[in-house]
Amino acid sequence: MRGLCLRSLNSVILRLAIVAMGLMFGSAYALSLEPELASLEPSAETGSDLLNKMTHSHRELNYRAIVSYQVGDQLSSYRITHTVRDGKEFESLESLDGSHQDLVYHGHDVNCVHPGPQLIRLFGGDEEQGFYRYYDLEVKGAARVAGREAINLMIRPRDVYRLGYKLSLDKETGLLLRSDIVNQQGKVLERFQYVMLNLNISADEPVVEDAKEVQHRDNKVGDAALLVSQRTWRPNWIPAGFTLAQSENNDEAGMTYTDGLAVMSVFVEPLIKAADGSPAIIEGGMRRGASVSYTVAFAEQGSFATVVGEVPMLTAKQVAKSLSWAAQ
Amino acid sequence: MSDIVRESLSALMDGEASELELRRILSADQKAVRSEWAELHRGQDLLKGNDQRFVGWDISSRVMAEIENDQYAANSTSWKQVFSGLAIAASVATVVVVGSMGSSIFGGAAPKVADNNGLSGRVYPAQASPAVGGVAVNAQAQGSPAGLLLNDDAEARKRFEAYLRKHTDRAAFNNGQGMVSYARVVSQESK
Repeated sequence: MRGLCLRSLNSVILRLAIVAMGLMFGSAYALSLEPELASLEPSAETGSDLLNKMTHSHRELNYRAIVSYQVGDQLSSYRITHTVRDGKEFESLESLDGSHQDLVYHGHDVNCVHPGPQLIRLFGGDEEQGFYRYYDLEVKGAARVAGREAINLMIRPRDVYRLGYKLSLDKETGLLLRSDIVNQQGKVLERFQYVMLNLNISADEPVVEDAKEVQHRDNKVGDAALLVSQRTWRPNWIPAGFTLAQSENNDEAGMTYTDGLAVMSVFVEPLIKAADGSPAIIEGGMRRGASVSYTVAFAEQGSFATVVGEVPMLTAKQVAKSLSWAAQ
Repeated sequence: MSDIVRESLSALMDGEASELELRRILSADQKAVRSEWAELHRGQDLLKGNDQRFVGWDISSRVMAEIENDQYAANSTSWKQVFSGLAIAASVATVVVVGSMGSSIFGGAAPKVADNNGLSGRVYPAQASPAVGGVAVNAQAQGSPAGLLLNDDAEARKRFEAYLRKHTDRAAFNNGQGMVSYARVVSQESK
């Protein structure tokens, strides 16, 4: 965490330097080429511009919103509050129906960059690089969500190992106002939709009382790689484009991979035995909304593995089945 | 089936097989070759977004089975041979025509995936098609790659919820959605 944020500080200084240089050259350019510049009107944003903006806005703005979450015929709603104070994020999620379930999260350095957004920002929309090799992006005109002007963005996977996304992004801020996750057959698996958005809240907005605090997981890439070398198991197959986002070696042994939008985690636990000594774990999958899990028992290793994530079942199954253990 | 034969089949499908590779395919186990061939086509159709409904229908083995049953015709007069040949062709054609009509009548949206899969030129789809009695007929296999779905198993559901929470702790910072991702966990727990 400390290392990560030091690095972010460096990157901030670097960015400032680049901006300063850009201003110098930019003004010289503007003076000499004024007529040409006039024709370079701010054109419509590309899909990658929008996506890039989305990864920043939800962490950098102060807002309060009501958001609905729909899976099948079930609808639930939440109030989400996000503020930034002294470069740190404070965020809460309150459930508005059913039993009270409130979550808060505070103190996340706003400059901490996680591997997922990094994949989206890294190649700036270069069609053949990184994230953009695995998805087709298409800007699909205007929409109106939560009383705000929005832009639709279709994101289609180029292979069978990912899901598709229909996003509506706030025209002004880039905030994600609506997200449909669709499977390969085009069926909507789950939907998040803002129904109210207030961008005029003060940064001192109080956080929710008595809420459960969410842990900050340090997703630094270098650390993850270090821990992998100490681990005895690993998946032998993950779909191309997925990067190791996180890895722990404590009691919650798990590895998390992301391609920028989809995230999946692999967990390994000691095999549970039934009374007669046979493994009590049945191989199979679970599904809810866009989330699936697939569990495979590895009797020889006395372990079972579960892959969880917002990916097609096929992907979870193949990753779970590809696990292998290093000889000890 | 060995990886070498599989590689050769893939090459054949791409129109790049050498004579050596052709010989290798011909001398391999024919049943395995047929099912792998069907698999490769299924994978390609999936990537091209073609209709998936009938990819599991192995007409070749049915035709061969019919011809096997009709061996007696070989010794009879030629018009009988012609007639039985026509009958076989017609019966298979009927199945295909009726089948594809069904596909457009019930008009399920075909999975649409771009041609460029960004992985490799040669595709090895994941699922083995269950061959029943030498005839690979399983048009439904594509729909449920999951195998057993444990949604009704209380223990499995409990584990799923716990894993989903741990996963969301990691996913929320990486999926571009942030804290909203926790709705997936909370909506489930408050049920």
